[in-house]
Amino acid sequence: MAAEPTDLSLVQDVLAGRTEGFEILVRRYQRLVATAALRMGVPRQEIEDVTSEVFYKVYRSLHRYEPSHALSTWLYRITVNAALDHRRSRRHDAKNDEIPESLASGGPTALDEAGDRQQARLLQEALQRLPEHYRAPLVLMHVEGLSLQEVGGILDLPEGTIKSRLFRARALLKEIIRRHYPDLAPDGAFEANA
Amino acid sequence: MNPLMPFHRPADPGADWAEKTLAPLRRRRADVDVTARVLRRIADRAPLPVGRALPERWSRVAWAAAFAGGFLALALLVGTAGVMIANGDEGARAALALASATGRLAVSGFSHLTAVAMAFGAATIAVLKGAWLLVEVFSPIVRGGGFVAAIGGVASLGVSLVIVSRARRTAPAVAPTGAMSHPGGLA
Repeated sequence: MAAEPTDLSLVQDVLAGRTEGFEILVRRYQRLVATAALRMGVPRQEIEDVTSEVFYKVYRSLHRYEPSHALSTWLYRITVNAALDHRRSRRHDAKNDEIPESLASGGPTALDEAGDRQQARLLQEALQRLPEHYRAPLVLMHVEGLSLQEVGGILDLPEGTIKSRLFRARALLKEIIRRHYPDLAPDGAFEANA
Repeated sequence: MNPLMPFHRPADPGADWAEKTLAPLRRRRADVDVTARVLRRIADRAPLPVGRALPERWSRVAWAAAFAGGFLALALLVGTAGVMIANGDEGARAALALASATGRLAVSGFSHLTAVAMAFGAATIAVLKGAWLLVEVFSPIVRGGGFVAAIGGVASLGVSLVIVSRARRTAPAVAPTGAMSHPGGLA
């Protein structure tokens, strides 16, 4: 079996005019981009639009890609910006957010899943109350599971700034959850404050 | 925020708290296939991305070569023109005559423009002088008018003061209960 072509070689292929390489890149990263956009607050019904927009932008600016960074880092950066732009342009209200599909389907598994979805939806609402410059590092670090260094690379900020924004973001999120979404708090999270 | 301590900043609950709280969000996945859509859009609208044609070093060399080439071309042009003029070439003489006529035309046009500008300036100065003369002639009248207006204002103030002070003397007094008593005792 032939080895998978690397991201860099695919990028070079595309820049040399062999656009088939871009199809491989899209297939390789579309799930990562779509999931990151969803977690950044883009409604599920608009994920395809945002994802294809991200890849279109990637294609248009592929010559600016710096191979010193991983392609995924660059993709995260474009996705975060696209998700924030999307939120800014649409200013979604609660009505536009997705409604859990499985709430009415019954059954313990479906109910668990519905509960999880409901929690995720409320968490999204809570996150939308955070200022953008706090939300992005929080989601990248604690939802996407990226390292401090990677988050700094994506947001183009020094690690110290990311750290201080994370401190503030967590504190604000906790306060928002305590005031508006007490059901979201992990067990016993507010006992110490009570 | 705490209403009793409005400037109190909540403490960071820590990374573990965030991991635990955001776990439902972490379980969310989006599985889409936009490959065909993206490729179609690229084929429809986007030109091919342009890669860097030359490495940085070669770009500098290309720039220097283009500059030197341009300088050489200019030198060649000037040299050829010089030789043609020196040999009394018909075309060169015609070009020189044309250049000289153009120069004369430009000088003449410039001198005409200068004359027009100077005439305009002189007319403007004359108008300004006339306006200043008018101001000088009418200034005593304006000053007199201002003086009369000031006296009128002061007189008006005096009359108002007299009227108000008389009105206060003759006005009925009002007690805190609302009862009124007239200074003449007739009420």
